[in-house]
Amino acid sequence: MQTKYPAFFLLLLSIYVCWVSLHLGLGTLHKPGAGFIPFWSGIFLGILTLIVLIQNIWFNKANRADEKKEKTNWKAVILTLVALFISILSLKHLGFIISTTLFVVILLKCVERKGWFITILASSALTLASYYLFKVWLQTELPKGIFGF
Amino acid sequence: MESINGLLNGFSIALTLTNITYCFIGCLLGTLVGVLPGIGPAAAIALLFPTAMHLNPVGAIIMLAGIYYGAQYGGSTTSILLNIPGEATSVVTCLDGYQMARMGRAGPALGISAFGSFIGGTLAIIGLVFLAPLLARAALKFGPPEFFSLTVMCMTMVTYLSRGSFIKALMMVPLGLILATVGMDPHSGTFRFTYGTLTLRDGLGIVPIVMGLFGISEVIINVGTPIHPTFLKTKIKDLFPSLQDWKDSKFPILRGTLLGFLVGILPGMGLTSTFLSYGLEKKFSKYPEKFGTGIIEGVAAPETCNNASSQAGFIPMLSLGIPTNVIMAMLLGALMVYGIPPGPLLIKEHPNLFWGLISSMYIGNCMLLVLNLPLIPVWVQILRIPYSYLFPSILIFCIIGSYSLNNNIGDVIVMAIFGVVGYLMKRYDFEAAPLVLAFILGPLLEDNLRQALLISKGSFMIFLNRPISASFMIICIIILASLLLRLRPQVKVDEVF
Repeated sequence: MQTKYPAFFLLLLSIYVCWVSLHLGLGTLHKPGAGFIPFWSGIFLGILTLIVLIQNIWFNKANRADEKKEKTNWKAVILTLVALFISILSLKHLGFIISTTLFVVILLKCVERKGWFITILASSALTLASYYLFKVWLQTELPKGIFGF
Repeated sequence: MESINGLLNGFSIALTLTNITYCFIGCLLGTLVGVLPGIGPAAAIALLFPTAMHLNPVGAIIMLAGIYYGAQYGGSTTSILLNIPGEATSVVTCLDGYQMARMGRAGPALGISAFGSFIGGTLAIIGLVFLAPLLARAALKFGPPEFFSLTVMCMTMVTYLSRGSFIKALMMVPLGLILATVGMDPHSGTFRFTYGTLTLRDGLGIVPIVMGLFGISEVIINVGTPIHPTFLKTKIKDLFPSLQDWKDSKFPILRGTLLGFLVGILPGMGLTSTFLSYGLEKKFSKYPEKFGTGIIEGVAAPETCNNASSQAGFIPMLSLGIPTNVIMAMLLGALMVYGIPPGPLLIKEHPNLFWGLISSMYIGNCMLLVLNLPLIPVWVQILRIPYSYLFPSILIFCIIGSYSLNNNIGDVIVMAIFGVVGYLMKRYDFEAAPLVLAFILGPLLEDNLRQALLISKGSFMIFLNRPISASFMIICIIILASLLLRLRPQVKVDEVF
């Protein structure tokens, strides 16, 4: 894990924020404009990021993030995130019940490698329990989708 | 006298059936998330945030606060029985608590941590009753320069006391401030960083950000590196500590309370309080070499300190509108969602909320003491639920929670994005607390800075010419100078162990 990668990203972000802030208008010290705070925050972030980058690249300073961490199951992490984003993006079209059931099926079958019987049972139970709890009991609005549920 | 009257009024509010129920739900859920190692109070509050927004403000704050202090009670259970801290603040309890459990003394360890938590929590609330109104009255003299300096001091302290690299923690402050500027500028009406998106026009919501940074990211971390708890095959008996246990624990409990109360008021010190307390007891003890081998003082002091510190954290939040940790920042966010401006006027303008909350904390502490010990076998059973079934439920709750805020898929997408951001931040050791704090305090900081500069006609000397503001700034300078002189206190775990 190299800190320089997130630091590079934050440096680019700070440059972008400063650029947008300049367009928003910095105003004057007497009357600061809409871009005043984001601009100086961007400058501050940029300076700090440069310090971290210099520490990492020139002085090759190892910090805690660079040390070897516990082994991560990347496949599980990526699958969970992909399933999460697919489920969120399909909510509007498929509705809560279908997209959530599919979401839990992917998690249990692909991430946790459970058998089909357990997967279908648990995903239906979890979806229905959360639907009952939030929609029926707490009367929370849930996305309906094209099927109307 | 004013405080006593306020407290009596508070009890009449907190003792209504509805508020008692909210307090009970909060305490119960707090203990549950404190027990479960994969989910902390920040994530739990984030999960319940949207649901709480459907309640009345007093009930919602009572419930959310209950989750916070309830988690401090629950965190010790896993530390003692599994050697896995349910909460970051319960790490120290593992040292002697688990050893006590191995020696068959899990009962007294659990018992003293519950009683200690109760004593520490209750005494800290008494301090809160008297100190918060005094502070609020003093803060009424604050103008924009004082509030700006106070906000800067709070951010500096939280960053300074965060774990790991100071620069990395400091980087999160401008990032949080930038995120806080998304949306419409209240002074000029200009839209900033909105890209024509309706979701961003009102600014980024605190709920999706916190849910993502704390809820989703915690789940992803646990999916990537699963925790496999091993249960001690020990019978939990004698939950009521013996007379000797009380004798050994009475001074550690008192010292823990005092230290926790003092440290809890300061921004960012919550986590370090238990380590400080353990270290202090070791110094006071006649047999420091026995610490870590399973002595009751090693459980009593940090557990008491932990609860006193968590309750004392409400003082700056309620009286000044300044959160000392991320959970206080979330509660502050909840007040803002209700349109209740946090700050010195809160006690005067919303006495029902202030006194109702404090009274509910007394009731909550009593509830937790009564509930905690008999429910320990239930918590142990809950700990046996495989994480495989728990994490999909947490993710579903997060999705529903962020959607139900405005019935907007955009909020859910924001939450998921911040989930990924939070995960990466944890991987690369960037702390989320300074970011959330800066995000919440950002509008306050910007508004007061712009007002102060208007008053001073563009001169920054206004922050140094006014004595209160200058003293806050001097504290910031001392903090930063101590950093340059390498005097920054770090929790040296090895020393404590």
